[in-house]
Amino acid sequence: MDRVIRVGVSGTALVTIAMVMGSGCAERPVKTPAQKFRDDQKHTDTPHGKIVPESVQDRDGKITYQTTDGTKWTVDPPRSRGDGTAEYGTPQEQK
Amino acid sequence: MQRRQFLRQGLVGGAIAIGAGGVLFFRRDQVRADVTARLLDEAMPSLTANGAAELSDLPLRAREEIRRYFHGVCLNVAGFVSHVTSDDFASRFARCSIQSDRDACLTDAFCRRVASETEILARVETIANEVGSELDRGWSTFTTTLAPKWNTRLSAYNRPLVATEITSRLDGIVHSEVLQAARIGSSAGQRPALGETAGKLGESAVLLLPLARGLGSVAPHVVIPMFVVLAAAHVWEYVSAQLIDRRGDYQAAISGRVALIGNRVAGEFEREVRRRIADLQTWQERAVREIANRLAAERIGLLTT
Repeated sequence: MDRVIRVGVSGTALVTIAMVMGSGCAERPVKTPAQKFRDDQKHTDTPHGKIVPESVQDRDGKITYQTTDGTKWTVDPPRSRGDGTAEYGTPQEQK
Repeated sequence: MQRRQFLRQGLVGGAIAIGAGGVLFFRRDQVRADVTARLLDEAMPSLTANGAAELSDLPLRAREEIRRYFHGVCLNVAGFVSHVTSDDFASRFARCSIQSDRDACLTDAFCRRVASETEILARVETIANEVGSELDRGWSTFTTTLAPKWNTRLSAYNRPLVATEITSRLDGIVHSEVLQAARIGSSAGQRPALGETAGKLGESAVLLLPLARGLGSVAPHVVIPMFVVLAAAHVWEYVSAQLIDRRGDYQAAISGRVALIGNRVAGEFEREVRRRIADLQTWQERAVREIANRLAAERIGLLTT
């Protein structure tokens, strides 16, 4: 009898954990590179002015955006550094 | 009596010989000066025009390239700001009692977290290569169009010159000027970014920009171009004051100010490239004058008509 109760409790606990984790994952959709860029760079100031958040888009596997001086840019999604932080490369100006 | 007459005639003959020799030397020098002036008249207008075009265009292009690079640097500045505002960094920073040590401490952190000195140097070399190629193209066009013009002028005096001979003689002088400038810089404690040997002239001339030899006792291993150190100094002074004060939203203030580093570095780089191009043009002009002089001297002798 004890064994049945133990198995039942453990099973319920496992199912609960699985449901919680599953629901957590479902509520947190994976951000696109553009969304991540928008969040990371919302306060960033560059030599060409601030980044215009509404202009940030994913396009052909790259991130495109505009700075407040009116210039349009393309940058690759960030690559991961050894210490776990992300690193953006040098952007290209869109002509 | 005969001896006196002999002496008199000898003196007269000597005077005539000296006079004739003097006239020949004078005439030779005049012809040489005239030919040199004509050769320089052929060379200088296009050399000056090329120089003006290079100075108005290339430093600005170099500035925009380094600005674009620092635009990318600014996208990664968040990690640097959170590092310099951390307690760990604060304790290290507190040990720096003078501003130059604080600058070195911040530059070291910047190189570790945002843009390594190797990366900055590589970018500078890439830009120097691009600007240098333009300079070399302009110089090469100038020398190859100059050779036939000079040949026309010199054809009256001797065999024509091979075009490559003029080019290689001009290049040789400029090359030795570049190497000499590198040696002078090194011996004056301003090691240039140029390595032991000079390759392409334009690139080598741009890479004569001086490097900061380590950053004192705080970061002796960091070797970056002097123009970066100069540009960053203004920004680090502000950041240091914020880190010491630590009031208000100092992280946002630091972040905003670090963005300015790109514009300051770009401005300093433009000035440095302009200086390097101006030096190169001085050497090129000196080379043209020297070779014009030498060609005139080689071709016009005492009895040249």
